[in-house]
Amino acid sequence: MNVRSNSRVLEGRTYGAGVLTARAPVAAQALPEWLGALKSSALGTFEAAGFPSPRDEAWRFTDISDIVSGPFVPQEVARSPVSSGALAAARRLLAERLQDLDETARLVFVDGAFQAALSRFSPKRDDVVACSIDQALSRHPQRVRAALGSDPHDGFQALNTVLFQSGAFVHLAGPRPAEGAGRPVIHLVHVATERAVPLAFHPRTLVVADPGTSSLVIETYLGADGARYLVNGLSQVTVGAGAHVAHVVLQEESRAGYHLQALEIRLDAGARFSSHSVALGGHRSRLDIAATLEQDGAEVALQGVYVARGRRQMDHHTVVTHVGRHTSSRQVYRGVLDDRATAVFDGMIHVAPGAQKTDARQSVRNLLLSGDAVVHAQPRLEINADDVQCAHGATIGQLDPEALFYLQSRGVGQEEARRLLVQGFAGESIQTLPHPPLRRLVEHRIRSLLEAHEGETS
Amino acid sequence: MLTIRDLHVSVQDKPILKGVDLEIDAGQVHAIMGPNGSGKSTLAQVLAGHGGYQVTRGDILLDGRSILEVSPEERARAGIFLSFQYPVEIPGVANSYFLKTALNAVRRGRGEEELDSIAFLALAREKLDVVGMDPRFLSRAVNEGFSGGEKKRNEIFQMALLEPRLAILDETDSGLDIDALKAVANGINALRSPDRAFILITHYQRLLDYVVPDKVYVLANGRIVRSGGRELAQELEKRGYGWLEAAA
Repeated sequence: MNVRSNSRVLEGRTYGAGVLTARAPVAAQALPEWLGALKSSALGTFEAAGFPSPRDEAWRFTDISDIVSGPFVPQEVARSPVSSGALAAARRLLAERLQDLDETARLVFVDGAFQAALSRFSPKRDDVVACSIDQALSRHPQRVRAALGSDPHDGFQALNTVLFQSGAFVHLAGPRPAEGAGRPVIHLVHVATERAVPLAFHPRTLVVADPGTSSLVIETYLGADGARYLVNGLSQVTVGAGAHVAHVVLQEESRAGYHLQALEIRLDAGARFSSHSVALGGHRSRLDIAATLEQDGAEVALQGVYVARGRRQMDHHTVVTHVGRHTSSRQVYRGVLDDRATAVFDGMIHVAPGAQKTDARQSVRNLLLSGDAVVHAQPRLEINADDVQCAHGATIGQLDPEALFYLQSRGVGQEEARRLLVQGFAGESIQTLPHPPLRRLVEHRIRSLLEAHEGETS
Repeated sequence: MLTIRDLHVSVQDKPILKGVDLEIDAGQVHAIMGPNGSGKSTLAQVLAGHGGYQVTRGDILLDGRSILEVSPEERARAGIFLSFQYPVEIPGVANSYFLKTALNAVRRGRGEEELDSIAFLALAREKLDVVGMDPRFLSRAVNEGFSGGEKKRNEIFQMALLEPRLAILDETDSGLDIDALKAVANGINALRSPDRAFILITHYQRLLDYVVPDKVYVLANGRIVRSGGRELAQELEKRGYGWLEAAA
C-alpha cells in the first residue's frame, strides 16, 4: 500500500512502466466489454495496492526488488512475435526435457504465445475442452467470464488480470468420459526462450471441472539456459461437486528466470483437489496456493518438493480455509537445499466458525546439505471452531549419519550414498504423484539435478 | 582370514574395548556372547568401519593387511558384511534400487561384471527364497515399516545377495519369533562354506541351537574372559553371565 514508492516505479523505465502503457492494449484489443472492464478495474486495484513491500507479512522473506526495478517488459509492449529461431529453440527444449507423457491434450505456449503447431490433441473426445483463452473467449465467453471471477486484490494477481494476453482454458465436461477413454490428462507447457529484451509473461490458466469429473492438469514451465524473464502466472481451478482434480506444477525455469504463480482453488461439496508442486529451477520462484473448502466434505491434498541449489530461492505459501463441515486438508512439503540456497514455507490453516469436524494436517521437512543454506518455515493455525483436528510440524535436518553408514557398509560409495539418501528424501513426496509417466519424468529430472555439477553458484 | 590384535576402542574418550584378541579362519563360525554393555556391538561396528569409534591401540587385519584406514564401503567390497542389530529405515529408497546399487558396487570391487536389472531381479528372487521373503519387499522402501523380524530377514537376504567372505551378525536373533529365527538360521547355514567365515554376536544361545559354532567367546567389560566350544554357550544359558563378570 505504498503509493509513493509505487508512483516512483511507474515513472521510471521499469517493469512498472510497462504497466502504465498497459492501458493501451486494454483499450485497443478487441476484448468483450466485460473483460475490458475487468482489466480496467484490476489496473485500478494494482495502482492502489502496488507491488507487495517487505513490510507485508506474506512477502517478508521474498525479495522482489529485482522484479520491481528489473528490466522486464510486458510481452505486449515488446510487440515482437515469436521468431522462427525462438520456435526452434523451444522445440529443442521440449524434445530434451519432455517425453511423451501420454496426454489427452498438450497445449504449448512459447514466450507467452499459444503455438498450435507444437500442441496436440489426441484422441479427440467431447468431454474435454482444452484451448487457449483467446479461442475460448470466442467460443465460450460466458464460461471464461465465470472462471475468471472477480478482480483479485493482490498486486501481482491484479497485474496478471491487467496484462494477460493468453493462457489456457480447460473445461472437463461431466459426468463421464466415453467408454474406455480414461481420466483425461491435460498438459499446459510454457516455454521461455532467450530474447534480447527480458520479457514479463502473465499466463492465466482456467480449469473448470464439472461435477463428477476426474482429471489431471499439469502445468510445466521451462526456460532456455540463459533466458532472463519473469513469469507472473495466475491459475484458477473450480472443482464441481464430487469432482476430482489432480494438479501439478513442474517448475523448471531457467537459472536467471523469475517465477511467481498464484493458484486459487474453489471446491464444491464433496469435491477433491490434489496439488503437487515440483520446483527445480528459476532464480527466484514462488507459488501461492489458496484453497477454500466452502462446502461440506471437500478435501484438498497439497504436496510439494523443492530442490534448491546455488543461490536460488524457492517459496511456497499456502492458505487453506475450511468453511464447510467435515472437510479435510493434507499438506506435505519436502525441501532439499544446498550451497547458498533459500527456501520459504509459509502455511496457514484457517478454520472458519462453524467448520466443525475439520481435519487439517501439515508437515514440512527440509534437508540442509550446506551450512550456508537457509530455510524459513512458518506453519500457522487459526482455529475458530471447537470440534476440529489440526496438526502441523516443521523440521529442518541434515543427512542421517547412521543411514549413510548403513549404505556404505553395503559397499555403496559415500557420494552415491549421499545422493541415494537425498533422492529418497525427495522421493517420498513424489510417490504420490499421479500418472506413472509423469512420476518417472520427475524422478529423472530430480536425479539429474542432484547429479549435476556441485559447484553451481548462480 | 581375520586377525584382531590387542584391540582397544573408545567412544568419545570412554574406553569400551580394552584389548581384544581374536583369530578366525575361512570356513569357521565363531560366536561372541556376553552381557549387555560388554562391547559386543562396538566390536561389530568397528569391524565394519563405523566412524564414531576411535581405535586407540591394536589392529584389525584382513588377510594379513590392516583395515583400520579402510573406508566402510571398501571393507564391504573386500568381503566384510555386517548384519545390523538395528537396521536403518531409509524412506523413499526402494529396496531393489538400493540392493542393485550395493551389489554392483561390490561386484565392481571383486572385478566382476555389473548386473543389469533383469539379471539382478532373477538373482534377488532366488535369494529371497532362501530367507522366505515375499518378492514385494523388493519394491518397498528400505526397512521402512518392516516388522523387527522382517528387518532381520532383510539383513540375511542382503548377506545372501552380497556373498561376503566374512559376515558379522550383530544380535540378528534378538526379538525374533521361532519362525523368523529358523528362517534366519537357514539363511546362515545355506551360506556356510569352506571359504566363508561368520562371527555371530548374541546374548542368548538359542540361535546356536540352529547354527552350530566352532568356537564360543565370552566378552565382558571390554575383554574376552572365556573361550571354549559350543558347550560353553549351554553353560551360559544355565548359569547366566554373573559368574564370568565377577571373574572379569
